[in-house]
Amino acid sequence: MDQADRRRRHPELEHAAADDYGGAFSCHLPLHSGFKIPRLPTTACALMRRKKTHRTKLSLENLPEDLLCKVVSQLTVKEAGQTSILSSRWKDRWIYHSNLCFDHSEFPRYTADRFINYVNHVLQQHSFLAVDRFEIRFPLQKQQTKHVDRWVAFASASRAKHFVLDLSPAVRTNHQTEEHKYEFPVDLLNGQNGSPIISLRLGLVCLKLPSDFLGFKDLKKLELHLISDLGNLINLFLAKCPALERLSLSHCSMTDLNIPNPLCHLQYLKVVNCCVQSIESHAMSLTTFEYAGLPVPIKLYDSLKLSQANIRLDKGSGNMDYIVNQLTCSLAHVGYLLIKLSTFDTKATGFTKNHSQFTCLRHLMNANYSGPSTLTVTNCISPVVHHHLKRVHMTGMIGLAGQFELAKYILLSAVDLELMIVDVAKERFAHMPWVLYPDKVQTVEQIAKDYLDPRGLYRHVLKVWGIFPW
Amino acid sequence: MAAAAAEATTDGGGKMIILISADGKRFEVTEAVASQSQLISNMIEDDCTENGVRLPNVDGDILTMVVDYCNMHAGDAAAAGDTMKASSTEEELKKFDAELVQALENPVLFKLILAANFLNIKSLLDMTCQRVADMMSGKTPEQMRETFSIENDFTPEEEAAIRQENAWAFDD
Repeated sequence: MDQADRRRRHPELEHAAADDYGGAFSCHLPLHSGFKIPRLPTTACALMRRKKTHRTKLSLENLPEDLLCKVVSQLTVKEAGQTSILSSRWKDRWIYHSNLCFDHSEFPRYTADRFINYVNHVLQQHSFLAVDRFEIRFPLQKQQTKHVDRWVAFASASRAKHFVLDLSPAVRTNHQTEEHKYEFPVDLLNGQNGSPIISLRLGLVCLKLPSDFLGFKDLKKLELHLISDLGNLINLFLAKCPALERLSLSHCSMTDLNIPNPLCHLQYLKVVNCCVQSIESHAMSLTTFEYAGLPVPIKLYDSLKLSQANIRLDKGSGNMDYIVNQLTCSLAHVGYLLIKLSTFDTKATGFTKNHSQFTCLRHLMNANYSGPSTLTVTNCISPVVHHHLKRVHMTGMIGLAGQFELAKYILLSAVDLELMIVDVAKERFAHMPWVLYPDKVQTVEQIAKDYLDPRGLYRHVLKVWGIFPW
Repeated sequence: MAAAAAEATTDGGGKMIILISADGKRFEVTEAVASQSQLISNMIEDDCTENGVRLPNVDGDILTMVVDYCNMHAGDAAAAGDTMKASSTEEELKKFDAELVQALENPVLFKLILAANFLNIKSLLDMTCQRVADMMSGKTPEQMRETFSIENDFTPEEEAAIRQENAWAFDD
């Protein structure tokens, strides 16, 4: 490719050659903020300004308009509004603010009426252009429907890509009855020309789908929080979101969750503290699965790529049985598994004494660690030779015999181990004795070293972290 | 682990590209490092980097920072697979980023913004613009004017009128 050809294909270099920083006024540079500010003309006036910058130092106002709007958009809406009195050039810059986020933490003393008034004022003056993100996080109810509907319409008309309507900030439980909840107008957000929404979070609203629900064809991230009575609606909703990559459901209630096969891009699935009868997924790209709640039937079909699972089971009997009989086939390919059982977390001694649970865990480990490269062990034991296990990080070592036995077992059975960290005190909690009695940590540290590797055969692999891990 | 480390460097290797600053300083970087600039990435695709890439509106000292930043961030994707390793790398990157923009004088920071914009390096542009926003945040209009040498061309009456019009922004 000759020089002229190169210049033709990359005209920005041509400009650049004749230009310098002062020339940045002529907006031939790549634009990022996604909206069209009229290009400043290369008139005598602009040329004069350019000359001026040769002499003076580069200042903020020499930056191109789109970059200044980008900076302003990284301020809160309120701070951005305050820039309007800086100078005449700043007066209307804030109205292109692209991150319209109204979060209750910013307005701790505002009543609902005052908050509504505030948002309405901002939206009336805003240019309507360039909105990338629209977020409302404030406790509001059905009686404010008129205003919230208008905001949803604003977000839809301004073609915001990220939309949050969380009417539950700082609320952990679903304390509102259905008739007091704001009913989210899905069809309002989901306009005629298809919705540009990429991420959507709804919290403490009542969700109903119109019969002609068009779906969100570009939606990649969906979070539903504190939404009750979803019934089968969640499945209908998901079926119309073919691009979905991340799905998070927390404190929702539904009958069954059924992730259909067409969600071939879904990588992340989180179901936390939901009231659900069963979970079934056919998402073949799933890599991460998080679940917290009661032991319900979970079937993850076609999830050959599933590599991380984080399971937290509520207190209840038969948890181990459930894990072995229900989860193992779904999580067969998982390389990184974290299981938290509240009963075991608090009573580690009961765990070491109970023989039947030991056997269950053996099977679980057997099934799960067929091909991992990293493993976080929390209260687990492994009985067979592992050829793939490379790294182990054991935390919460408080000196129980069972913990040391497990550590030794892994050390002996994982023949290709590269690194094993036995963490005696690093991840400590304030109520644990070692904070008050550091000498105890040193004792445990010494016992660990003596028991696990008395002859120093594993010194290149084994690291025991005490009070001073390094 | 030693083998893994060696592999990582060869992964990031490949062809080298020469970047030439306005004042003629030359920087040799790998294609992987340079490709973080969308502008250069496009040029690599079009196969027109063999004689070096001249960047006539980026000074040598600014380009040094940009190249440092790109070198530091080239491993982002590679480290993501390894959870234990990635967490420490992420911390290191955050620290590096913070230190990169923290101590800069205003004109240098603005030059870096322009360079990031010209080279089209989104993460660097985001970070530097965020730095300016952080410097504005929490300041009174007076302090903002002072920090960024903004000349107030409003009469007191005009200023009062705007305050009134945007009263929501000035309420406590």
